[in-house]
Amino acid sequence: MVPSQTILARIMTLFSGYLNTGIGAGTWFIKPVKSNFTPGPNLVIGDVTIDTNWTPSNASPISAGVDSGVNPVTMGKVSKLAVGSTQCARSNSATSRIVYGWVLIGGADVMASGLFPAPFTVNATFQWIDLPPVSFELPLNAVR
Amino acid sequence: MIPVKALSEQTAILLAADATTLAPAVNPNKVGLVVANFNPTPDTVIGDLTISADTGLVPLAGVAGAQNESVDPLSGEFMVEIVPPAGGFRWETPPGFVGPVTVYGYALINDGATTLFGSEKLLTPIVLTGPNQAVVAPELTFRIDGTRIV
Repeated sequence: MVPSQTILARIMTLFSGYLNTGIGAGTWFIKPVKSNFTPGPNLVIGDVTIDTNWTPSNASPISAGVDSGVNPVTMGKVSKLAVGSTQCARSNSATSRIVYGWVLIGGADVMASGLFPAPFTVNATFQWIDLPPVSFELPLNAVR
Repeated sequence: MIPVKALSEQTAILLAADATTLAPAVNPNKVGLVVANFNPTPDTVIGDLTISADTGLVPLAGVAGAQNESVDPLSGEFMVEIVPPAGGFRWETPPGFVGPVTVYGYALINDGATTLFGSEKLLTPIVLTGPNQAVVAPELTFRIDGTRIV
């Protein structure tokens, strides 16, 4: 059945509400990953090695404020976490490691993941990375 | 950002239980017969459709409350199934019906017939020309491909 815009918008409004109040509400963190991995729907915490040598430590606080809306380019429906007070992190260790991507942790589980455009080596303190905004988009052709 | 399945499936789970749209606690949504040609898109609204009000062919109420949510074992899509009433979404032309009335598809609407939630077009229209002719809607579902959520 072809969904109406009412339904498409409602899906992401509900999804935003779930991100706000569902799994680990208020404890969502983005954590850099220092093992190679493939982001996907079946990823679990045991599939990745989290790099904890960053400040803020133990992940960066992300605002729990979630809004739904529309991507003006694709017209897909979106849910986005508001920009938190910290959208970047600095290395606090000179131990050399390669950073491949990140995971979004809700509670104790992986909620989502992604890769940086290319892996990069971190080998000193005060090397900074930007953390991606938490954003989900439901393309128009994802629902039929 | 690629969500895990447990997260992306929430799009279907929440929609199936949403009292504002698909799962009102009372006054369940209805499925109507669309009797003028149409091309369904997400921008289609109820005013774009001609929904039959003829005797025997009026919109039929579904079931109040949560609709069914499941995963298609073949495609992996998340499915929200519109629960049919007892006897299904079935229309039958009454005695004395002359027609012709051409059925082009189905529309899922709210009880007050002010909001369109979805529509489906038949591959081949059904032309009703006399009494005791039945139209039975197929399974009406919304399918969400969770792998497309990024």
